[in-house]
Amino acid sequence: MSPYKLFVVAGLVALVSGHGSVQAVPASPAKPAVVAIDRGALLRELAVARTRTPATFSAMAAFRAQVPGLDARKRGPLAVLAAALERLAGKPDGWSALVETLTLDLDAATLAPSARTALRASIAETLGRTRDPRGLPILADLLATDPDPMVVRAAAFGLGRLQDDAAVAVLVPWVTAKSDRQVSVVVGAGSCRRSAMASALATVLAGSSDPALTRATIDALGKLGAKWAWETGDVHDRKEESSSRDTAARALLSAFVQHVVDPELRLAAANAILAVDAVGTPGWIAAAKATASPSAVAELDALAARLAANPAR
Amino acid sequence: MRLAALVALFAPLAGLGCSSNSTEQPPAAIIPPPLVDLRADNNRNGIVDLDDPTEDANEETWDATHGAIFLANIDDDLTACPQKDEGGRPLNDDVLAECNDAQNDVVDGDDDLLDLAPLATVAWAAAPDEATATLTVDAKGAPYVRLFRRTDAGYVAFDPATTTFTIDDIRQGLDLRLEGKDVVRDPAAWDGYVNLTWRIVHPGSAPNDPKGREAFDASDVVRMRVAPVLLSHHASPAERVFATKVPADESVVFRTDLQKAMKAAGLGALEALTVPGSDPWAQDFFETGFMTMPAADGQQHAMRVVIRSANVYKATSATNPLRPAGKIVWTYFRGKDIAGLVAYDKRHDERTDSLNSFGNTETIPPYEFTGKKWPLGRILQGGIKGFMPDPKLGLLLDSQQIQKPLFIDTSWLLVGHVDESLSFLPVTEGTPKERPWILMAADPGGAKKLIEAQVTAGHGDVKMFVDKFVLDKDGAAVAADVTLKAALADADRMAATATAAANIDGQLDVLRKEVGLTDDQLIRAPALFEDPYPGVGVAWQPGTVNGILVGPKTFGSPKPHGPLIDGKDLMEVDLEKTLSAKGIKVVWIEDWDLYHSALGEVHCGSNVFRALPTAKWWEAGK
Repeated sequence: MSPYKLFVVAGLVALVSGHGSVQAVPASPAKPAVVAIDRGALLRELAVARTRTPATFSAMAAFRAQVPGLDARKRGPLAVLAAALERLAGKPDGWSALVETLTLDLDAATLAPSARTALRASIAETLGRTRDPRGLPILADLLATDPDPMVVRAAAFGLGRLQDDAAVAVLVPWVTAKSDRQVSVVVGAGSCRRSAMASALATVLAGSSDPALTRATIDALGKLGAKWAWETGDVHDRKEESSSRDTAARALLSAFVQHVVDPELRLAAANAILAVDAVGTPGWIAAAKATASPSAVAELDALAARLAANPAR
Repeated sequence: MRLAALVALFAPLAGLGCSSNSTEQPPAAIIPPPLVDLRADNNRNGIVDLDDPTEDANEETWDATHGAIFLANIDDDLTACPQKDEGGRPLNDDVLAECNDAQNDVVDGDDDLLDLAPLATVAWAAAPDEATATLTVDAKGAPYVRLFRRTDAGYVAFDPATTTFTIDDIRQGLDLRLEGKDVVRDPAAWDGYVNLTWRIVHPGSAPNDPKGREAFDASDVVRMRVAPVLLSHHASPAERVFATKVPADESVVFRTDLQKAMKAAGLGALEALTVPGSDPWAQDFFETGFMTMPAADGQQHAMRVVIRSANVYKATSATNPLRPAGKIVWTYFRGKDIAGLVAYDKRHDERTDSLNSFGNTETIPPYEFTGKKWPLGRILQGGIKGFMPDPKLGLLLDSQQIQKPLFIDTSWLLVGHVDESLSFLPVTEGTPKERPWILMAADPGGAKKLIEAQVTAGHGDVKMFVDKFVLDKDGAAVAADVTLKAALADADRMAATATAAANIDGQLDVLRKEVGLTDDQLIRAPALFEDPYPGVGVAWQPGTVNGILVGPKTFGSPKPHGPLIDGKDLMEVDLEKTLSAKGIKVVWIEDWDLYHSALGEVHCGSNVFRALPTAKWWEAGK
């Protein structure tokens, strides 16, 4: 069992080690961290919120009632719910209304599987976007236990979007450890614009021999390092921008060279490099050419040409 | 070629080819060689010419210059196919699809006769009395074709494997027709070619028969090919436009605007489809195409083909696994000169099912690149290794040869369709003759720059999406309006926008390499993107690229609900300027409530029958 355990205490989250102090999670633990929710405390908090702001819970119920209809006319695999949920979350006690739906799995018996997935995943995503640290144990629990890959992906996104040290500490081991949910976790982790996460994803990418994991990591690094995302200032700390984007770009360039014979992975890596658009990339491309095969040199030249006309700049 | 397969069973006839000798003898009668001649429309002029040598030349082979063609006769000219069983219950997926004119052994009316390819044997009046003949089909092709011969009672089917023709048939010649029973689905099973062999056998005349001749066994082979199923492209003008009739006010709004766009393009009435579940995505559950064979006067005889999508909505169902709305292929479209077609593997990966919606199947207009010609264009689909559309339908499309699909990566999109980012527009002015069209591409970066410029100009607090809602118009709590500053301030949205910009550039990179696309053939349709679920994006602003080309110069685009700057919609002004420079008029169509909020746009909610192209597929050399 991991020495790390999460508790919810009166709405506050504490990451405690066996010694009771906050510590960084090792980059490559033998097993991913195990977390636990103090479910009783959470339910008490939700009950208080429901009594305090019944209108918000009614609005949430009204929204849930519309989910089957939205699911029926969706285009693609899942209906889009996150935008509406985000606005609901912004209401007084909106966070609690979302968490109630998620933790009590309301309407589980009546929703079609795709509707239930959409609702749970969208709530997980929204909990992260609220940046409310109370979401950490709930998202960590989903990450560890939910059987639905899309919910796991959204939970990882939510944790990554919290972006605080505690969330990063929970998420990084799940990113780096091999498990049947690693690909889902990695996809979601692109929301975590932290240098520690960039390093973790770079490590995964360098060691991956699984095409699905490689592709997921490439895409996650593109999201994490995207220049335009950092420009918003909607990040934990812009001081980590340079290191995060440089780490992402270097890892992606290595993947580009490593997978130069696979046109699909090569293209995905190139696209992510464009999204990150790190200042040093042209120089790193030039350096990579020095040791590259003739065919790789040609592809690196093509990459440099695309970068010079980067539409994500 | 006639007599190409003549087997010389008989000895050289006396006198033939011999020079005279010293003994004076009366010259022997010259007996012409057997006339064993099967004719099809080898020269592709729409008729069978018995006297034209080009009808006969190299008829045992098939290439871009010659070779006869037949249609898969899978329409329903008498609209006789049932839609319900004897108990009045709707027929299930597979039973519905089974019925067509090729499933019986009669000619289903005069229209059906036109769908049959003509053949004839050349009459051989001097055939010896004892001769008999057969017309056979090679073993691989035989199950896929049916032969008819003309009689006093009309054209009657016969079994070539068991039919022997009489001396009268040989002497008078046979008037024949051939129908295909199916299209090519898997070249390993059948590649679409048939070899027909007209064979006359003569056992030898009686010794004292003054008109007799020695034994022979002679054959003539004709090679034919079934017409491929081809998909329409945007260079062909729209003729009929369809949209689902959803019982909701927003559907009325959408269809009213779509009708306005059609009127601007000179089209008639929009056809509102009533489909199971009121599935609004008319682009997705069927695709329009055609098959053609040569007709007289250089024309083509066509059969439209409407393909049901391979969306599997209920894999556990033994009877109705497919997307219900797709039944409209059989219940609305199939009929005179309109065929229905379906191919699917219900075991396909359900995670990829969205790729089977036909918003993910578009057609690059005709082009030529690196010496290769694509006169009917080329299918463009989203798909990468491990994330591909249905394998059976994919094999069918690939097997048609003429428009072999080109794949681009759409795995970064939640819906995953090519129509979310690309649309082809026929523009000949200023475009190279080898690619007489332009490509409109979604432009996330362009949207960022447009909005940034307005923020810089002091309009950061101006809102877009005013009076729109992210849930629906009754969801008062979830108004969609957002200021320009806020639109650019969300890290996740801007990450999605950046990766969308890069990924769309990646799609264009494939088209640059495979099609020869150049940047001066590109125009941009700005839209910010977002990820509605982690790792998969969609246009956050109404994706104006995702519109409908209702006329060669009329584009029906989703109304973008952009910010009003100086009283004008910033996004509308931008696209109108871009398209008017290409001579194309934009008609705005309101689709926010019904389509945009559910991850689709105008193109996703509409479908089109387009005029048949004049290019002839058989000249493509594929």
